[in-house]
Amino acid sequence: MASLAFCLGLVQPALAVESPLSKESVDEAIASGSAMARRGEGYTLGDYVLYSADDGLRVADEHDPIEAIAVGTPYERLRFQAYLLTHQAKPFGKAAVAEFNSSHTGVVEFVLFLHSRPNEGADFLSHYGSATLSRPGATPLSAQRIERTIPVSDMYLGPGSSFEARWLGQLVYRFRLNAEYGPTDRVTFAFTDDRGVAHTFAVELARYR
Amino acid sequence: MRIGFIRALLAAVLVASPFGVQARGTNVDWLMYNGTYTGDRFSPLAQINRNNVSRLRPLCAFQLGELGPMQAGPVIHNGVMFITTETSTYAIDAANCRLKWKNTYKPVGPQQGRANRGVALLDGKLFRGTPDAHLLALDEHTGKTLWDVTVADSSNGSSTIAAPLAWNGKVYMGIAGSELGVKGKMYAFDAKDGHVVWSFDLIPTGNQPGAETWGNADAALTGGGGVWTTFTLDPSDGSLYIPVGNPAPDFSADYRPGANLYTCSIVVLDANTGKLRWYYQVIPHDYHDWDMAAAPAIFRAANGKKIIGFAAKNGYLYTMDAATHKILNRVAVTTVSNQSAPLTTEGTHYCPSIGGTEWNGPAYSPIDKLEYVDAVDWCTTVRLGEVRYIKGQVFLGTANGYGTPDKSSSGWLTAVDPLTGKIAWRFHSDAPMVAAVTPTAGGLVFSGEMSGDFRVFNSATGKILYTFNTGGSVAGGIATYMIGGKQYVAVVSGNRSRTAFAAAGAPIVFVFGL
Repeated sequence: MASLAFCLGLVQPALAVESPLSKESVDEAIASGSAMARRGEGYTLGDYVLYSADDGLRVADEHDPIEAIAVGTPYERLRFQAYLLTHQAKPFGKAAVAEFNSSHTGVVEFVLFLHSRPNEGADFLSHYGSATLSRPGATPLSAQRIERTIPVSDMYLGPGSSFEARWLGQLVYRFRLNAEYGPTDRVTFAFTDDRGVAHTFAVELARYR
Repeated sequence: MRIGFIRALLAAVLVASPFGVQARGTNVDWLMYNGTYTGDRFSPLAQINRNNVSRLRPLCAFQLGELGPMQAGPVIHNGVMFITTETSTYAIDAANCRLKWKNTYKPVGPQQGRANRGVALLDGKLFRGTPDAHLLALDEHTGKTLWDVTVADSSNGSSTIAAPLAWNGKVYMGIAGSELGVKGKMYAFDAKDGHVVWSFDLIPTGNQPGAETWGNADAALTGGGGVWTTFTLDPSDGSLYIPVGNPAPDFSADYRPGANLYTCSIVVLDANTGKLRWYYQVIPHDYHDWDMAAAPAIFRAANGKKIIGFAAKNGYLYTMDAATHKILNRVAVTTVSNQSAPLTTEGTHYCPSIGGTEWNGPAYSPIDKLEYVDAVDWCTTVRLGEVRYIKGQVFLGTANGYGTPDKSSSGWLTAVDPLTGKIAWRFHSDAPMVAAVTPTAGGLVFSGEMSGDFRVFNSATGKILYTFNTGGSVAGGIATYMIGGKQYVAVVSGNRSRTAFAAAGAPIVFVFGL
């Protein structure tokens, strides 16, 4: 079974969630994130986007507050950390890498980019419920940790072509995978939104490094 | 230009005899947002002066009966005062505050900017912008709408909230909305019928010079560079000075590598043709929301040199030699701290944030040979973070919006010798100062505070000579004028915008006199 191998890091398919990261992957993730910052670009999530609305600047559907969901594998999160540090002209030393590996081994995060509904307050993220990760035959996992960013106000082009202020923020669900989950498994990510509506997304872990 | 000539003539007559000597039976107008085309805001009136200002008192008040932003500058012509709100224009008797007429515009597009800054006046017509990016011409005497042209599509965030400038048969206006990702543009309209005479792109793209300063060409399409205060014009050579706002998105600088011309700049155009004469970018590649907001002041300093004085939201007052375009000095007029530090994930504390000099810029008194400017003193802590998802890319923005502002804020009024950069005096207010600053030949400086206080200072020493609490935030214009030989001071109060500077009261215009 691949689950144990995943935890031990023995299986390294070309595309699969890798954890812990090999030295080569660490170097590559840091180089990739740093390069984005040095080029003066925004951080590109690219293939790690699980779901995205058509236009993140527009509120196309008032009933859909989800702008995007990204899969935060250890590789992707390290790449993002490298991007942020390079942008701040800070080094990514060995100790920081070790700390990152320690805290992210076996971890997969789901990053939700959300905006508030009309007339919703800055506490809108607190109304989102818990999340689970599951696959047939395995015990569902509950999010080990939920992070909520400080909401900020921004302008969106609303359905009526007028600009309107909405709160936006991020919700990060963190799962620590166990022996029942492998790096290439097909899993289901589920969460409950602020109105109690359940959302489910099929996730092919094999697609994500 | 007729009104410019009359204004200059009166100034010449009255400046020659400051402190008490005054022409009798005359009218002296305040003809545009900053009083004069050159934006120095100096009034030659001296009937109200250091010797008698303690006897100043409110003579009348005009309640606008609206709630909303009140940041407009009154314009006074032939005893009539014109003041604007988001959609309404009022004409009142400038001596007794009685309403003469009111014109209310009904927007036809999405309403964006709400803080209208006032009218321009030319040959019997008033010109003003709207929250849905139109430009209107009204009959000065009746308020009737004479023409209405669309400047921009407001559905993309555009509005026309600046006080336009009118000169030589043209009306100058640009679009506002940097925060909404507009692509800034400046226009000249024919005063007769409103047709566009010329336009100038404040965000260059394609083959336009300056487009190379946008490393991400897509970012330029929503690059900001709006104009939202007013403009300055040098009638001696027909140069139009445009203060250009911040780039967009405000803090996500990595989305738009390069200097990002002409954001946070002063752009100088040929007022007749719209051709670029020169520009000075005060803050290249801004990532603090430090607009070059207020219009510059042009004046002759004590040594006869023509000076351009301007102040930005970064907290500095700049003095530029108008002939060489060299900066002669730069003076901090509020708390300035940690300005070049990069934003960090832990949080970067810097000053000012929502501060520095906002929409009302510097003024100059040829009598005291001092430049005066107000400023907001407010610091913030901004945390870097991924803030918004855009088509596979995450903006490198802030994780806490415009930052977490410090608990305390205050304001400054600073008097500076423009030739040396030496601070002559300064007044520290408990509240932010964003109101207009108006020096006079009476040896006074008028200004106001968000706390509601209208203040009169000794222009040479900064000593407070008179205070009146208006009951509302003073955030708009302060104009002084003469009707039938009597000097008046109009003070706009009651700003109720959602500005972070606090807001109190209801929009009202007070008229003071002896």
